[in-house]
Amino acid sequence: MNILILGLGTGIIFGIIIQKIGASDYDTILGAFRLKDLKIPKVVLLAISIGSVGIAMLNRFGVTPLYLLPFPVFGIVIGGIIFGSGMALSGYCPGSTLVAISEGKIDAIFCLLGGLTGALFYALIYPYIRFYTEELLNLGKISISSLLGINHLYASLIFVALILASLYFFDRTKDASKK
Amino acid sequence: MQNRWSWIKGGIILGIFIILATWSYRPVGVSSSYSTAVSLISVLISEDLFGSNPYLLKYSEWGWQEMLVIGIFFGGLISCRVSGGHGISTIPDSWGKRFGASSALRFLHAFLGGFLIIFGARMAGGCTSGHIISGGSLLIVGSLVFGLMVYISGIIMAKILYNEGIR
Repeated sequence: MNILILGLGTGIIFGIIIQKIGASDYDTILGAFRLKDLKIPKVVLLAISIGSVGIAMLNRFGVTPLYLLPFPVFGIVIGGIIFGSGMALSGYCPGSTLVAISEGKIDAIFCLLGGLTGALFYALIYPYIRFYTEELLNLGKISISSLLGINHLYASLIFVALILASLYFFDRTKDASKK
Repeated sequence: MQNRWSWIKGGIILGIFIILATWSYRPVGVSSSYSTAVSLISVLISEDLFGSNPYLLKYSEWGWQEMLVIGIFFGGLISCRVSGGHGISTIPDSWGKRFGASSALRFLHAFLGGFLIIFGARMAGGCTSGHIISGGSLLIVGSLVFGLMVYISGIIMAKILYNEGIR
């Protein structure tokens, strides 16, 4: 199958999921940052725990590689801080912006324009900062399994158990506190 | 408000999607496609800019991920139409309650926010899709740290914007 068509189809499904979980909704995202509505964090945690076990199994059977990313500390930490403040300001992330636009949210168009401007700005200053954001203190392509020196599938099973336990107990205490 | 999936249903479906997408080709990502878009736009505007900038040169190919991003837009469109979407809007409810009725101010917040998310994502080498969802599902330490920093930073920014204590 043509890779481009595969990408399109994958994206369409992704867009439907983003829309159906409410991730393109400013009020929902800010609800998460204001610690009033933790739906999106719970969805993401559940999804990555399920995903990690599935991918670990596929990897175990030699079907898919572990696409590891490096850990350049300054790039990750400073980039994350900048990203988080932007997400709380706009209420959107790079993917949900597009879903929001498709839903008729005009402000998301401005978010997209800002994003393209940010991409241009980054490209312009990249040569001057890349040493700091990519090379200085780069811990390499480490995963939880490689860091702890344990089998990746076991690590993912422990990961999902911890997340499911946390989600379960969090939900229970939340319900208990409601009169 | 349209009928949205519960967090359990959404989490399970998203989790299965992550597995299938990764298996079908690659883990999903979005932010680098903004760089690709700028790169391709720059070719049209100034070939000197495009040709002299190593970053734009690096992100100059249209591929699977760029089609994914196009697909995300259409997926949102399909889902919104089928669910009975609520048409054009400019100001989100909770933003309006806090900041008022000025569309111009809302558009400014959105523009600045957009600038920061893509700038931050490119600096970190990924975004909510690339790092948190894909990197998280691969148990990548850097991605999980990114996710943590995003959430902490977002909480602080929300506190500043909405001037409330943290519950």
